[in-house]
Amino acid sequence: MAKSICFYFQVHQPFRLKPLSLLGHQAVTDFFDHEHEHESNEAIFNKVSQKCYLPTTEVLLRMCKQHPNFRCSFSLSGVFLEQCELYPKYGTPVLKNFKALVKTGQVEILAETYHHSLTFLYSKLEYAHQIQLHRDLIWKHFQIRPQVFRNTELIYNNDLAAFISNMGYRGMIAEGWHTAMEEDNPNLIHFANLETLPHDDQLIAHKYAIKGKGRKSHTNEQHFPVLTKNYQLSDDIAFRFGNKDWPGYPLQTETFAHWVENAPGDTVNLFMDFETFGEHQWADTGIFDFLEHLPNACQAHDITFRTPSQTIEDFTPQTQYHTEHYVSWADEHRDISAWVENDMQRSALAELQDIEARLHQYRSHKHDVIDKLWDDFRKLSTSDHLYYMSTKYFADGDVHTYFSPYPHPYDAYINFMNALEHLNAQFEHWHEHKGKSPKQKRIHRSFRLTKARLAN
Amino acid sequence: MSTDAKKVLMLGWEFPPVFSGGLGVVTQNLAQALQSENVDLTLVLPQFITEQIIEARFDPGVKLMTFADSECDLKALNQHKKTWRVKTLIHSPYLNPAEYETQREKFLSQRYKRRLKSDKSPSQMKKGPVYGENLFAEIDRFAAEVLALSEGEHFDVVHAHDWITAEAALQLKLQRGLPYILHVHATEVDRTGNHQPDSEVFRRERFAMKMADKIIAVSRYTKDILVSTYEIDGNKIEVVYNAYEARNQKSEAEKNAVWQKDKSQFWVLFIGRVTLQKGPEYFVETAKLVVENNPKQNIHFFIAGTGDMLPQIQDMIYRYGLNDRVHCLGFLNAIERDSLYMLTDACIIPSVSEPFGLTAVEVIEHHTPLIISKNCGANELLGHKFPVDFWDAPKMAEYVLALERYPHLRRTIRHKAIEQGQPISWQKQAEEVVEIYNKF
Repeated sequence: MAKSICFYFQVHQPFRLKPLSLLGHQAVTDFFDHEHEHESNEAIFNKVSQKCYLPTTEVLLRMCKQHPNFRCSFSLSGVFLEQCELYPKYGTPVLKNFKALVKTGQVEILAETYHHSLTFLYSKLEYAHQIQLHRDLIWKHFQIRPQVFRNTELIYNNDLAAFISNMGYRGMIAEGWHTAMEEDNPNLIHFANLETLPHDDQLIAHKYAIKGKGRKSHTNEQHFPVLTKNYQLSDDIAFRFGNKDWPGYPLQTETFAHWVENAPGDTVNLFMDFETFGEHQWADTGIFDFLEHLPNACQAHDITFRTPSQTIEDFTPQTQYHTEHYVSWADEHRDISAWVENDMQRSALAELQDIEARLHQYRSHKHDVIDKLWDDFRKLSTSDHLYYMSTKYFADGDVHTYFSPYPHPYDAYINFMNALEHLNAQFEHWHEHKGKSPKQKRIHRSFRLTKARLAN
Repeated sequence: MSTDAKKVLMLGWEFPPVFSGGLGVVTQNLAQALQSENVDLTLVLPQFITEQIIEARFDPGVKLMTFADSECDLKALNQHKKTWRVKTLIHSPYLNPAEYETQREKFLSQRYKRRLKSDKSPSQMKKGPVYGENLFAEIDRFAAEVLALSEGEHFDVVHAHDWITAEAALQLKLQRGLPYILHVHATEVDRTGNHQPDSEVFRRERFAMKMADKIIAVSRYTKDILVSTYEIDGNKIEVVYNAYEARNQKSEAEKNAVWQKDKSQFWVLFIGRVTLQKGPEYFVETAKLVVENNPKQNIHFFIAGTGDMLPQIQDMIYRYGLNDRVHCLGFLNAIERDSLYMLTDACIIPSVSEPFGLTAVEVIEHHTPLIISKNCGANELLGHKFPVDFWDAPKMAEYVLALERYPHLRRTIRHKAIEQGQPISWQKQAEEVVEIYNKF
């Protein structure tokens, strides 16, 4: 069977916090709308739409039309799709293009958490719930049910794979990192080392499973496929493409197709941020031409394209992907230290966990205030907030600072904790008054006063 | 080692133990480090300082040059020092003005004389907070002294600290063709917060900079000021940071012996001269905002230092009703200061303009969270701190409140500062200076 390229593009925009202060005693109820228009989430969304989302989806639409064998996949975070609706000026045409791409039948949408979160670190229940929310949102926009799962930042370990397989997904994608692979070859199809899930987690996984698919419990004999990123070739496009000091510069489609052909194995999984096109690699690097002409060059080398589902369908898993520790696609060591390395990050996670536990007491409460608190809490669970707090490369002014809206990680932590303070204050306020309207409270108080007077 | 050791004439203005200000300490450390880098270094200080060093039997660790017929007891000098009996026209720095004028005429070029005459308007003589109203005269006298002392001696290069000694270097260049390096530790722009730079000092500084063969700036921040405000060619400016060396940490018992602190309290420190340059009023503004937003009422502010703005600052504290929350401690000795650093939960340096700022380094050395003005050269060496605009009291207040409220913030910034804290040695900095010498 012809070797294939499997493209997966991550499309995500966090709801960045506005500056939140500890000065003044005013209650803050809106965390995300920045007063300064040019720094707002909308401004960033519009900028990235113009530079990347719109031009790249248009290129891909042309490619689908010209090359019936072209395939690719997307993971669209829920908070990204929410911004498409919230900021219609660019959001509407962007969403329209994604819908058109899905309609071609050549594009697959992957499953993930709605909030691009790290909730699996502290609550499987909330994690499953956010997967469900994402599933519903994808259904609403595209009328499809994603079958292959991609976890936030490709974070993966055996436990997570077991959980996801128990939710009925057909496969999962991960970083092609040597510590997790039996053979150091990301181009083979891997199968997960599924450990038995704790009973509670199993119940949660089944409760939130894809309809009709959740009950079947995977064993190691029934392989759960894992697609692994070829980071060498992926990063040639995502990170090195426009680097004039790189020996491979300027990268031609012909050369790249040749590299793919020479890579041993069945599939070359090219996983990257969608912003690679036009945002990380600017248009003037020639990245769009590269993308558009890649299918032609591949054809000459008998290389085709497959979606993740097709890749899983067409090839048999050959070798095990096994890791107890979390592996991600981030940083030099492919671990999760970018999110949980320092005290601030760990304390922020602990706070999120606390708030979630408290909110859960009111899970069945249908109330605007509680709904809003859940919604804000979930937007705060987006992994980016923790990433901004990373001190790992801060002193070197590395990528962390490039992607952060804050000048330094301490500002990121302070602003995040201030948001949680305000969220807690709202919750306390609601908790005290249990949703009673101010009018009701007044009646109560006067009633008590009357009683007191009578007693006297 | 290399046989062609550079012969360097270094001109200083302060020196421990006479003036233990920043410049004196830096001059001493650098001079000693240079000497162990095999530089043949001779230091000249104003005569009255040299005499006091000798009287105090303080070992400066470098060769000092002084008049052999000065009133001090030469036998007190140890073998490190070398003195010359120089044929000189100036016998003492304390000449009377008329005599001085006569002597000076013989030394100074016509050009120099013209400049001096225009300098002598009384209104311009009033400035100079440290040295009083005859500062310019003293500077000129020092220049004349240096010329006399170094007569007949060979030097490869002159290394002058700040504009005060630059006049002497300038004369050596004009009269003997000696190249000079101007080492800039502070400028008039820093001292006056650029509000009303003293035009005469500024003019002298700029002339000395323009004439210098090389300039050493103590930070990129200072280099930028020299380029933008003094219009100096950036190519002849090298940045050599001041060094700082880890000192012995005080024990828990020692620090508690000096200060009594209730565990529930959160202490915020301002340390430095209470002058315009250090921005003490922004510290008080910050305190006001913090106190208004600190329901626990547990945050206390300390001002350690003294200076011409102290009465104004005390008045401000009184007007804001902060008497029981902002405490003026006056000048602290080293032990009091170090133990306060350790007990303090946050330190604010709201300097309007600070070429380097050794205090910042000391704060980080004690692992104390630091809120520091962006106009501070030491920033370039310190990774983990809270940078602020010196006037931005609300931002500083936010940081204080956050540090008080979020213990993990304090822990992380302390830990990261420790991890990153690699002291820079004077030896390493001296190597950089030697590289500059070798260009001559």
